Amino acid sequence: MATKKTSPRRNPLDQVMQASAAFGFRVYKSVFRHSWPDSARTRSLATMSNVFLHLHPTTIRRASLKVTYTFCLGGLSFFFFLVLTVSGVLLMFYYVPSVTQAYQDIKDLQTVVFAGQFLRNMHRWGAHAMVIVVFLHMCRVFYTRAYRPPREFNWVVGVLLLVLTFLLSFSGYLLPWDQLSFWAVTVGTNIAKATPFVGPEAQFLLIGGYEIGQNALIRFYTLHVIALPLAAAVLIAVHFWRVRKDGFSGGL
Amino acid sequence: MADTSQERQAKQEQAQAASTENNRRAEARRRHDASNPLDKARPHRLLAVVKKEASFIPTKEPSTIVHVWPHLLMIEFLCAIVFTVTLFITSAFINAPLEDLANAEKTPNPSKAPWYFLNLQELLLHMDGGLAGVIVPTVVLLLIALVPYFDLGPGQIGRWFTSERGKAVVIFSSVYTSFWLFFLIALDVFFPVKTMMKSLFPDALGRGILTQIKVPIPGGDPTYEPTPAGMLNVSITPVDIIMSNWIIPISVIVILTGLLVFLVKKRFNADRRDVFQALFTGFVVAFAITTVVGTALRGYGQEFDWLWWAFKRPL
Repeated sequence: MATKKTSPRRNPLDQVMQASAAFGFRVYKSVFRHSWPDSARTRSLATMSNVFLHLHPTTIRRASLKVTYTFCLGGLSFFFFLVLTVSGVLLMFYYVPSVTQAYQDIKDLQTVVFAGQFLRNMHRWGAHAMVIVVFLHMCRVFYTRAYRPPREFNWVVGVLLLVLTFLLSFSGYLLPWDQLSFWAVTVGTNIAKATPFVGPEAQFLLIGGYEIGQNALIRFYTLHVIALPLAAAVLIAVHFWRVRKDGFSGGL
Repeated sequence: MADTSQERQAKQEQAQAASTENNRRAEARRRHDASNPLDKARPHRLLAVVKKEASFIPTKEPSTIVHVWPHLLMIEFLCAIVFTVTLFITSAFINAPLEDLANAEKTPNPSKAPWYFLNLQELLLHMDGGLAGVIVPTVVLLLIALVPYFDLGPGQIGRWFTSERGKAVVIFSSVYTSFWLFFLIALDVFFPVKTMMKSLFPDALGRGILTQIKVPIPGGDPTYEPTPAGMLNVSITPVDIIMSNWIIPISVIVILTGLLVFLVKKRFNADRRDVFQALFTGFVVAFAITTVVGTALRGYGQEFDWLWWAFKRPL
């Protein structure tokens, strides 16, 4: 009798625990489809069967892990792109791209919204960091000659991404609608006006008028939050895919 | 007789062709190996993942190959953590600048573009706006994009600066570019080329001879003289401005770039990769110096100001 009572099978609590554990494991397996990656097989599966990780190969040469080759610069460029996407989406909840409201929205963000100032700071400093990191990434790839065939076209995609990074940063610069942003963008778009033959037309196209106003604000906003990020996302996908297909250049 | 000799000749040609073909294939194989040292460096690769029940189970990882999970992912993860924390701390303590509400009537002095365009704004002070703001950056970006299509020489990839000579070339180019840039900026600050061209060979009234000659420039900047009626997109430009804004800056850029290539070839016996390294370094150094000068040393009215940086212009 006593043994039967203490038997784990008969104990209702243990039965519930076992069933829960089994159920939990089933849920885990439904998501990851393999146990904790501690063997060669499960480690390979961890990379191959995960949509976020499968951009990596399953194995890599030990020499390729050397941080002083890449300095993580390409990964950091993407990291800052993600940080800016997340913080940018949050900022969009509070920001209206109108010349009568934009500046007040930024003021509110800094004084009324919980952690609004912090959010804005993150977006600002992250943007500066991304410009620097993308530029350094280009330098790294150049000086290690990683653009050699078959990676020529991926270098070109990278140059386009550098241009997109500048444009993303510049289009965001106008949005706070303060003196700093207004005049910086006035100076910047005046450079476009100096284009030979089509200068005034290029500037008109860019700012939707002869001087910075509501039309320029809505154009810069749309470019900043939709058009340019989408273009960048597509090019980043191509860039990564080609890195994956062509293999990693370092670690010889 | 003639037949056999012809046959013999044909056979010989065939054999020759076959051996040439074999040579070609061997050469191609050799080249392929040489151009892809990766293939040699990696003695094996993952072909398949097998279940436990299978007859062959890989038990030990070869030492030169490691799994991405956890080796590479750990590095990426740590890097992301470090930079997240850094960004959080920065954002917690340093606030993004916000000035007064935008006012089109109140022009700040100086008006500056975002810092990464201040290199172009600096160039703008030394040459025509179209040249500095559009033509030079477009040409530079195009040349950078085209590098891999022209760097076809031998040599390894995956090594910083390719070789010891490459490293020396990069250092030489940095010094060369810094010297010339500081010299040219100082020259234009203390002896402005625009003023010099204006006062060259003055007539009795003190007007330089070049200001007297005017040339119609299609697509030019129409601000120098009003565009005559019926002449769309044509600007009547005095020659002194053509000289100081176009001809002199372009000549300086072309001559100094050419001199850099010449010196690097002569001094270091540089190959094409090293020439490209010299030119790219020139671009990077020029980008950095003009950005710093434009940001920190240009004050009111874009005048040169040693201490402008101390006034803390917001980023």
